[in-house]
Amino acid sequence: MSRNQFFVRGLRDSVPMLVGIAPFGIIFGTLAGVGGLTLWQAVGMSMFVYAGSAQFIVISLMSAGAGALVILLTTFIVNLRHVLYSATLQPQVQGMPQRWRLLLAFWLTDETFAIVQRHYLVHGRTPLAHWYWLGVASSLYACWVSSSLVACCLVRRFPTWRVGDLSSRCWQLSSVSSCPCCATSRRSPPRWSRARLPC
Amino acid sequence: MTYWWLILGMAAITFLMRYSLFAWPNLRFPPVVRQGLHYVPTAVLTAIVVPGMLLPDGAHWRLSLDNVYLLAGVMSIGIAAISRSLLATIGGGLLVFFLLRWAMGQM
Repeated sequence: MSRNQFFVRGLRDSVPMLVGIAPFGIIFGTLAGVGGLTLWQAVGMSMFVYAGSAQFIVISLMSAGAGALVILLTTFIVNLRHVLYSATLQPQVQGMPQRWRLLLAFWLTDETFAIVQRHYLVHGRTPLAHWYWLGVASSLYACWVSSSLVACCLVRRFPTWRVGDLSSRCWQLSSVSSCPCCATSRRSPPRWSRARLPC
Repeated sequence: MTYWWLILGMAAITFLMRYSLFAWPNLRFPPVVRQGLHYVPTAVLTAIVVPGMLLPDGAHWRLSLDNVYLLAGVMSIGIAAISRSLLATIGGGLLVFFLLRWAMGQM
């Protein structure tokens, strides 16, 4: 298989995860959009932090007026599991150029880890396997950032649609089977979203 | 402005943890550690999913038949075991969850 074929196979294998990620990106975008963050801060969090469960928790911490130290320490604890992912995939990055390691590390989420680790278990390490990894990781990243952006823009452009209500409702209902990374933080909807609930 | 500093701080912390062991690509773990790392996917994903099924509010055990998180979770495991398909598991799990929720009047 060529680079392109590996890359496309990665894109293809990421599709099932998109079904689970997009709804949570939309929920994040609307919750962050109606809170104290500007549009670009909300989307910037998805672009630069790129860690669903930490983002959800931090949004509710910010709305509760938590201090910077609490927010950064929480991020540290919630994301500590990534060290294990990093260690598990470390044998596969041997001999990889620095820029590849930086990029793939930045994109190392629960979902990327689950798909890529399975690929290495089933197929072993092949010379072009990092193109598969790149396909998976870029697709999931694009999905998370774009769903956050679209939802954030919509909730700001059309506040009367009460998308925020719908989202916080979904947030309360959200299922463990849909997005394991967010399940841990599911029970703390931000204060402003609760206040907007009709019931 | 403060929010931007917080976001950059979160980004730095998260990235450093993800990059932590990629920074030494030639490091070799001893066999015991390598053996242990085999269990990371099972261990971490179980730790994320199981509390969400058994303690949906994060504090109280709910081992009852009206716990939709538990029922839909068990169904998802069943779908995964039979279909061996990620898409069927995620899609089916979501569908079962919302159908049960609707059927039990918990929407």
